[in-house]
Parts: sequence; structure tokens; C-alpha cells
Amino acid sequence: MNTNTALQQDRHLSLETRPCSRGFEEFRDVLINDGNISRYSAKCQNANTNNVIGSSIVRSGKTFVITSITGGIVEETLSANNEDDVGEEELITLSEGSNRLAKNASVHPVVEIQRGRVGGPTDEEMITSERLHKTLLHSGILKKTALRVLCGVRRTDENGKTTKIYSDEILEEERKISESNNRRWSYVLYAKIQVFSRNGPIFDLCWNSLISALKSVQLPRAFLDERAADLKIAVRTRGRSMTIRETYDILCDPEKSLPLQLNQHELGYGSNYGIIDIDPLAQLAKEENEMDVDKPTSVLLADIETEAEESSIYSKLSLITNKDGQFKSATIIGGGSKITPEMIKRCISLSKERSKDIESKI
Amino acid sequence: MSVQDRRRILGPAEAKPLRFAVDSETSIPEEGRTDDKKTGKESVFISTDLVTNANGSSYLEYMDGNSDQVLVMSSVFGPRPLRGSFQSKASVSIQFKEVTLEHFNTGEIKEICTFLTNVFNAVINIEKYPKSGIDIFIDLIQHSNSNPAEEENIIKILPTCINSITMALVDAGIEIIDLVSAGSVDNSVVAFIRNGHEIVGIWSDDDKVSDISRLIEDCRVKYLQNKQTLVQYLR
Repeated sequence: MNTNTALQQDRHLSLETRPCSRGFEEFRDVLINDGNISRYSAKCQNANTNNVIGSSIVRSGKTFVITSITGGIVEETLSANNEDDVGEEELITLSEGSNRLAKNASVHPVVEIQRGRVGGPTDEEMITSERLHKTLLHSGILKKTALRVLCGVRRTDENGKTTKIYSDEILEEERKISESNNRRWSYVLYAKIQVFSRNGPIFDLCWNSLISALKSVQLPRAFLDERAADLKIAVRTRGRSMTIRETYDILCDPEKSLPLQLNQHELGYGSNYGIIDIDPLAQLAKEENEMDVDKPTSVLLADIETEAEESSIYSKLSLITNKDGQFKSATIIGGGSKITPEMIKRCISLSKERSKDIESKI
Repeated sequence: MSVQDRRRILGPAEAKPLRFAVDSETSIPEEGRTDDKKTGKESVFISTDLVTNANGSSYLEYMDGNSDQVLVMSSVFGPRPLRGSFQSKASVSIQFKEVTLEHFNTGEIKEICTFLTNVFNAVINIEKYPKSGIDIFIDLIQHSNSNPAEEENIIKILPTCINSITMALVDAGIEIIDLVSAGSVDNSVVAFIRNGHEIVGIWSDDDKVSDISRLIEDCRVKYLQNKQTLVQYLR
């Protein structure tokens, strides 16, 4: 960084203000809405061609993040005869009990930061995507069971009229139809996160945007055609006969959908902090008789913004918590300035406040 | 793809994207919906300087008579130095990207970019900026009437893209010969400058245009409307 801007920043800080004219512990204003992008948005105009199932636009200061969530369906691999083999079932449940992560699911985020260049993803984009993916996986916000497809069956009667039957809506005698196919599918969620006007660390912004987009996700109901539901083709190769089961064509119901179940009490929102020493030489003595001007004082800055702050602050904290202080992620990087326990405590209470504020806006 | 992309988190390879069933039943209320909202009035919302780290940017919301929206954001980076051998003129590059939906294939996107690059090469005073590159990025945020099967999609978004780039160039302070704008009629788009006396680009998906001068005349009427809107905003 230019020495001039560093000096300028130090002067600003010694006057208890920041180059971006915010106070030390002042956050940028946050605006959150769903941007009317998803097919389930209240004012959606193009529900018939739109495949976005959840969205959000988060604006913080000048920076804005557009997240759109799309989905896919993947067939789960099951053991060949899982119904009969009780022992194996037991084994699976046993091992899953000790492996908490196996129950958690995540989304597949792709972060793109607009920077006026073309080409492959930058380090920051890759790191942010990876961090979002891992943090969501470990947070337990999204469970695998929430992504299970409750597959229905579409019937076409002799008049060409179609009806769709979902196993949790039907009567008991019809239930066995849908149970006849013992396959399982689950939804896969993809998040496309686009960052515009980046002027500071983006991880917490992307996280907040991802969470608010996930909150708006509606999973469409999926169904099979009844005729295809139990289709088996006998084939004979090299003297051996076997049956190949048709790969099903799962279609989604254009009208019916279920909201994505998130673990509400696990939800947390992100914020970031930086700690910087003010160079004693740059300090402007507030009072003439002030004695200890030679001692460097360090200050805590909330919500790092502008290149000047980003490039001169090496001690950073990034926290994800809910308003009750239940932490989902905490990253503390010490470099340059000393991070004292008091500062960490202050960050924790600030992040709770921030989280409360963001939660009220979603 | 034979090579796995290790730089992005793409999810399981065997996952299939969601496909929504097309029911005859659902398309009927859809039709009714558009009829209800038909106002017959076109409206444009213009805003500039949205993207702070670009030299100039603009955001346009265009709503046509059927309440179909096209939301486009353009950002201009440059003029910035070009590496390599000496160039006496600026080189203009235009990148088109869909932010939310992905309805256009790479071929179509390339066509759009080439068309827009041709238009703006004629309009930007490129002699004024030797040794520099002007990079323009268009982000299509929303296009409510987009239909993956239809070919008219490009026609519907092109005029808004052109208007949006013009505004971004103005915001960036890059010298242009005149405010370029476009009008579309049926399956054709014509871009004009100098009050409709000069044509800088024609795009037509119609293979049976009978009367080209009539088509240009119709597009010019819309061009004048669009240009008027831009001028009003800039005033």
C-alpha cells in the first residue's frame, strides 16, 4: 500500500473515524430481499421457464451479492437388498451414529466476483466457495433427510387426464404403489453467488446471502410416470441373463413444492473484524498534555471495507453466530497487531448484535 | 467433459438438473395471468454508477406491454493499457453473462457478443484511445419472458443491452460519436445513431422479410422513443 494512504488512514483512525467515514464499531447497512429471481418468488413473472428455486440479493454498502439456487436430483446408492438384510441396516445406523457429518448435507457453491476480467476462477473465488461449502456442511444447518425426494407417481387414465399421487398425501391402499419402487433419490443444491462492487472481505457477505437464499428455497415435488415406475428389461449377455432397470426420468411438479427444511436453531450470520495498530507518529495528540503518545494503540474495526483497510489490516476475525452466541464458525488470524482476549470478547458481543440485526431483515 | 474441473465445487457428476413437467393444465392459467397484467405500457428504469469498481456502469429495467421484464446491468472497465504491440486504436471487447438463469448456449452468447462488439466499434471513438482496451461486461439479471425453446429471446433483450451499454459508456466518460440505441420489430433489431440517419447494426432472425425499408422505418420509431428516454435520464 502507498505510504501516503497508510498515513492518511492512521490520521483518520487517530481522529476516531475511518476512511470510509464509519465509526470503529459501525457496520455497513445491510439490505436483503429475494430479488424476485426464484420461480417461487411472490411476483415471479416466468414461473414456467424458471429453474431457480431459491434466491437472495444482499446489499451491504456498495457491495451486492446475488445468489441463485438451482437444483438437481441424484439417485442414492443403496445396497442391493436392503430390505432383507437387517444386520447391514444396523451396521449402517451404528456407523452413522458416530459420524455426525454423514447426516449433514451442503450445497455446491460457485462464487464469482466481478472484476472486469475474463478467465478462470481466482484464488479468492475458489477459497470462498470451498469455505462456504465446508462451513455449511459442518454447521448442521442442512440435513440429508431434508433433501430426500419423496417421489410421487403420475397416472394417466384412459381419457388422457393426468393425476399425480404423492406418498404422503395418499390413502393407505394406494401407498403400496409408490413403495413398489425401492429406490431413493435426493436433491442436490447448487448456489451461484455473484459478487459485484467488491471492496472488502466477502466471505461473510456470501454466507449471509447463501443462508437467506436457502431460507427461500422451495423444493419442487417430483414424480415418476406410473408406467415407468417398475420397468425392468430382461437382457441376455454371453449366456447370462439379468435384468436392467430403467433409469428413471424424474420430473418435477411445476406447481407443488415444499419448503426446504433448515435447522432453524442452527442458523447463524457472519461478520468480520480487523485489529490495527495506530502508528504513534501519525497520532495527533488530542490534548497538549497527553503523555503516552509513543505507545502504539490498537483499535478494533468492524466490517472491513475499502482497499486501504483490507491491505493494512493483518489481524482479522471472521465469525458466524446466531443472536444467542451459538457459534458456527470462527476464524482468527493474528498477524501484525496483537489480539487481546478483551478484543475477542468485544467481537463476540458485536457479532451477536450484528446477527440479530441481519436475522430481523430476512 | 473428460477433465474434471478441480477449481469449482460442482457436486456429484451423476446428478441430473431438475426438469419441470410441462402440463397442459398449468399453461392455461399462465396465459390468463399475462392477459390480466397486460397494460400496454412500456416502461424503463435507469440507474447508473451501481458497480463502484468499474469505470462506469448502468442498470436498466425494461418492462414491455405484457409486463415482461428484462433486467440488464452493464459495467465498463477501461480505457486501460493493453499489453503487447502498439495499437493505434482502442480494442473493444464485450462479454455477455447470465447471472441467474442459463438459457442461452455458448453459440448464442458468442453471436450476441460479436454483434454488440460490431455496433460499439462503430460508435466508440476508438481513435481517441490508442494502446488501450475497453472491456464491457453485460450481466443479464432477469429476463422474465425467456423460454429455452424460443429463438426470439435474443431479440427481446438486445435493445435493452444496447441501451444499457450506452448508458454505461456515458457513465464511464468514454467518448462516443452519438447515443446509440435500438428498436425491435417482430424478429429484427436495428441499432441507429444520429437521429436514425445512420444504422450501426441489424440483427434479424426473420428469414422472410418482405419489405426491409418498412422494417427499418418501424424500428426507427422505437429507436427514437428509446433514445428520448436515455436523453431524459441524462438531462
